Amino acid sequence: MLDQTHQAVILKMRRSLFGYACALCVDIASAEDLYQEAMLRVLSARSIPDDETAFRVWLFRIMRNLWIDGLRAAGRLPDFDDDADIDNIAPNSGDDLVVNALAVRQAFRTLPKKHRDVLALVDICGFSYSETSKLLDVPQGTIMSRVSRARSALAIKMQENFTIVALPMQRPSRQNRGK
Amino acid sequence: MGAQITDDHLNAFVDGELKPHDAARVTLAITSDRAIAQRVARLQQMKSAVSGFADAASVPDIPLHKPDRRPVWRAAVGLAGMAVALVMLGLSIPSLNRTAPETAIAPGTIAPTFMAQHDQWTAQSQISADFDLPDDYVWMAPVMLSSNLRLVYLASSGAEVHLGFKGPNACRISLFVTAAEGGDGGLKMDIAEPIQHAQWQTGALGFMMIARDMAPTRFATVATGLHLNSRTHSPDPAMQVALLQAARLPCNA
Repeated sequence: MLDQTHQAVILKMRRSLFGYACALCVDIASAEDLYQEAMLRVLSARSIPDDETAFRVWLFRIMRNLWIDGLRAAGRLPDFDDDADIDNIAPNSGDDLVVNALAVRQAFRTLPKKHRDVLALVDICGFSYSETSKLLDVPQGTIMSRVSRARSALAIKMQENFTIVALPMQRPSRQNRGK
Repeated sequence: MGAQITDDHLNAFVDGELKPHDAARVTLAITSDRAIAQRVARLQQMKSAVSGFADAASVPDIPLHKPDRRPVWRAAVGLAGMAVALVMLGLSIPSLNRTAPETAIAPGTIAPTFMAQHDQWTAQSQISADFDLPDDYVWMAPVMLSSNLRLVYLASSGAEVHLGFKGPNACRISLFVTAAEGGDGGLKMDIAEPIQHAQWQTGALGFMMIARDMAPTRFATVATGLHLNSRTHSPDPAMQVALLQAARLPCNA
């Protein structure tokens, strides 16, 4: 059962937990469901890590496992496991980009799941590379390169979005209209 | 870190993950190379923007409580199941029924005025905002929070108060609180779709809860939780877990 120390950690982490759910699910209703389900598992767990760091990792791992279970049930796990696009991102992508928060968040929603996962853990939840490597069961060096690739992918998405919404810099002349 | 400063290193620098010696090298590169400085600045801006990704979203409340020794998970499943079973079978269960036996009520006994008010509210609830529960009804909070139901409508007329709750999956519940003659009436429910209703009495207050097309288990669990809390004014841990579980069930209204 949860003792008061554990409850205090949950209260402290609840925004990060929900932020992680939002990052994984994209739409708020699904994030609320995931968050609710994770809390249900936490409240009813019989075995809980004593160490605070381990407890934090355990909380997020419960949520992540539920999310992966949901993907598996929906037949969308191959989408998550597909590394092809991740390995093809050039470093320094999107260097000529003007960064603003709204554009970054819009682009973040369109990132592949694996990129959202690792960036959410590091940027939204505030996990160190070491903690993230424990949570994802991969070496710390892998986290370092995944974060780098995820941010490059994010920059590319921002460029794509920018291209889509870009307006012509000059009005077409009257002569060219209708052609 | 070798002589080459890679993109991985710049990202690790932004995340504060480089060893002091390597961080010093990157810092030196930033001061001497404008391209690297710009790259680091953009990475920091991106990190900052992503960190605020969900800041605007309101975090659903999860009521936490002092632990007790009972196996809450099992008790919760049992309570949810019993809440439905007792209504369907017309039986009473001692742990839920401290004063009077719960029974099923015949469909169609709901007062038309309550049904009309419920339908009128749900028809206009697209433009609703959240309310805080009035002081007299804060005892409902643990049940409603666990059920992911938010108070979005509040109206009073004479001695009657209409509270409208909204949840995910299009769930809408009306709770009417009216003046009643003193005494405790047991919980009575009809959970047959499409209209579910429950009623009970606690002291000088009568309660009527109405929903359309709600999952029967969810409706029964919420009604049972409210009924218990209206008497004890303190949440039951097992009931809260049952409510959390039932909160995921759908509504079609």
